[in-house]
Amino acid sequence: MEVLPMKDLLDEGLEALAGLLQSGALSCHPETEERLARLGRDFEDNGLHTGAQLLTEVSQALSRRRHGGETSSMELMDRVGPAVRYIRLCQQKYALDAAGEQLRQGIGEADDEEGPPQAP
Amino acid sequence: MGLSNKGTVNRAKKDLAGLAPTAEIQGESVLVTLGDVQCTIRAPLGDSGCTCPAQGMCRHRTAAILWLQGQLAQDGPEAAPPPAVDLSPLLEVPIDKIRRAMGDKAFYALLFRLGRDGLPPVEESSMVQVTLPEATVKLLIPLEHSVCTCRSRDLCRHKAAALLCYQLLKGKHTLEALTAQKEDSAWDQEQVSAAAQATAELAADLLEAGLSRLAPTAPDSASRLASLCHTAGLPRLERGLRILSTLLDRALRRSAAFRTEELLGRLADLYQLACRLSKASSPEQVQELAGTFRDTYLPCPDLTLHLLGERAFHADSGYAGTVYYFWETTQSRWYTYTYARPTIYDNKPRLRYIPAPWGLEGRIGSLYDLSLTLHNGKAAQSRLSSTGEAARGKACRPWEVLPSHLWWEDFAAMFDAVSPYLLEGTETDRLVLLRPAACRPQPFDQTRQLFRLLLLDEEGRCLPLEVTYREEERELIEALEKLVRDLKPNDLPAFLGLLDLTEEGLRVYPVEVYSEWRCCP
Repeated sequence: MEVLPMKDLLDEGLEALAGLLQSGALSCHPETEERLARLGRDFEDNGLHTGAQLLTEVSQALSRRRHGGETSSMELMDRVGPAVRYIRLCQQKYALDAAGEQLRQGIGEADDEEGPPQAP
Repeated sequence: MGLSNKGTVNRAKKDLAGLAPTAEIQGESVLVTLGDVQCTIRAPLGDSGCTCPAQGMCRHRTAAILWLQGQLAQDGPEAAPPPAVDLSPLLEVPIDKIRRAMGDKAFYALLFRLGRDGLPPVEESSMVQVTLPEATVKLLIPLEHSVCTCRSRDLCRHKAAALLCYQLLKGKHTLEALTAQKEDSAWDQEQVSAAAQATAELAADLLEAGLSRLAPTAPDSASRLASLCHTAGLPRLERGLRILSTLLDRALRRSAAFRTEELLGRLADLYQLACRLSKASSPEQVQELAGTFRDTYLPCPDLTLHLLGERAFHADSGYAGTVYYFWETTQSRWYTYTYARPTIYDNKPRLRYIPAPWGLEGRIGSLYDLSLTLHNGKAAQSRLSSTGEAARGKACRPWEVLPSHLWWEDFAAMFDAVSPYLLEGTETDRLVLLRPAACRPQPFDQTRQLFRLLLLDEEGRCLPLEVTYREEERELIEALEKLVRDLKPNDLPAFLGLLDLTEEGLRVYPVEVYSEWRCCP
């Protein structure tokens, strides 16, 4: 099983939820539901238990709707909202840790970007 | 004397010398005849009446009271002494009534002043005389008869301030407890719930319909809802909805600046806030969630300020203007002063002339390289208001005022110092002065419309300086491009910038470039 790096996993989680907003929950593709369920499992594998639970709940709510279950727009938002906020908080924490690590290790864009150096 | 004044009392004494008053007891009152006029004297004395047309305590009533006092004194020592005046009703005046009479701003400003300077002189006799800096108040029983040198007949802010001072003196309240009290607003719970519910439904409906079926009226709906939240006294929700309206407008226009993830995050935040507001059961909870329209500016001690930089802003919430950054040398901290105007209704360009605040003449830009002393200024945390009087002082350069331990040459050390504030700190917490060991210019990113300049420290740690192109940033980008063309390897400038954490990592937004920082010792 391919294990995504943490940043990519978080980005994909938010991207999947953004896809849901783009298409609208009313006409959500079955693939979105499956993607969210898969991401829920990936989050669990990477130790993000809360995120896994939130994404699984969104996926299950979409599944219930598709099969004629009663899930109001507010109930769906009750699940999507916390999932979005959780992933964004994780992204911020990850970005902060990564930025610190990058600076401390002295690695950065200066190594791989072109441009005339102006150092003495 | 509390009801009248020294001049009227003297006049009354003079009148009495030429009159032969008579008195007739009428139940609870005494009818005193003084020549052509008749005065009805009753307790409390302020309720006494007179047949003359004067509204207040006239010389006739004063003369009648003095005459009656004299008659009682002549009756000898067996006459009962006048009972001591019970001033306790002054302590019963509710603190909310005092605060309403003063207004919230004046109330908290007085608390701050009392904490700093102590209580004003309070003299207690048959009345309470409080000498405030701006007025002298005589508090009487009943309170309606109290007088103030501002001549107001109502409970003016001076009388309210005097009442507060008396209650504090008597230990009815403590400064700490009053200062800790939050502003108490009268919430209409029904209105709050309706606005919060409508916001939650809007967020849920947007997710339901999706951006692919976004109605052209969606930005206006969000904007209208923002106005409802304003009326309901929910500024945090209002700001969020105004930003939502801007984002929806971008989505409809297919703007390159639009990001679905950003809109989704905004919807999630709004939904959560709306749900919490709907469930709030007490005014304190609503207050905490509602936010404030404007922070209360409180008086601050004299400040020694140095203008070190500025940046233009154009907020999604519908305001545009310039933020000015001042370094304060006594407290060793940053203050900001914001010149802003709303763009919600009118987005026409304005004149570039921005006047200096605090009674100073000329443009605000003329305050660079000068020391300013601000008296009677007001601030909300680190944000200065335009009130107060400032005086220009001696000329001084930025490196003479900004402490050297805040000049960052080691970017890792700078990150360790600033990182606790990157996610939740204030703007001034993210302000850093960088002295790079090298600069590496980058070509202008045409795709992202981005100016980039890589700053490197001695260890080769890289910190990108970035400015995204917008019309209001055009001049800044042109100035930076000129700076990059003129860069000399051994003569690098210092950058005052705002550190920002993005998905790609740390970024610096330039506030000011000091090409002469090399001159510092």
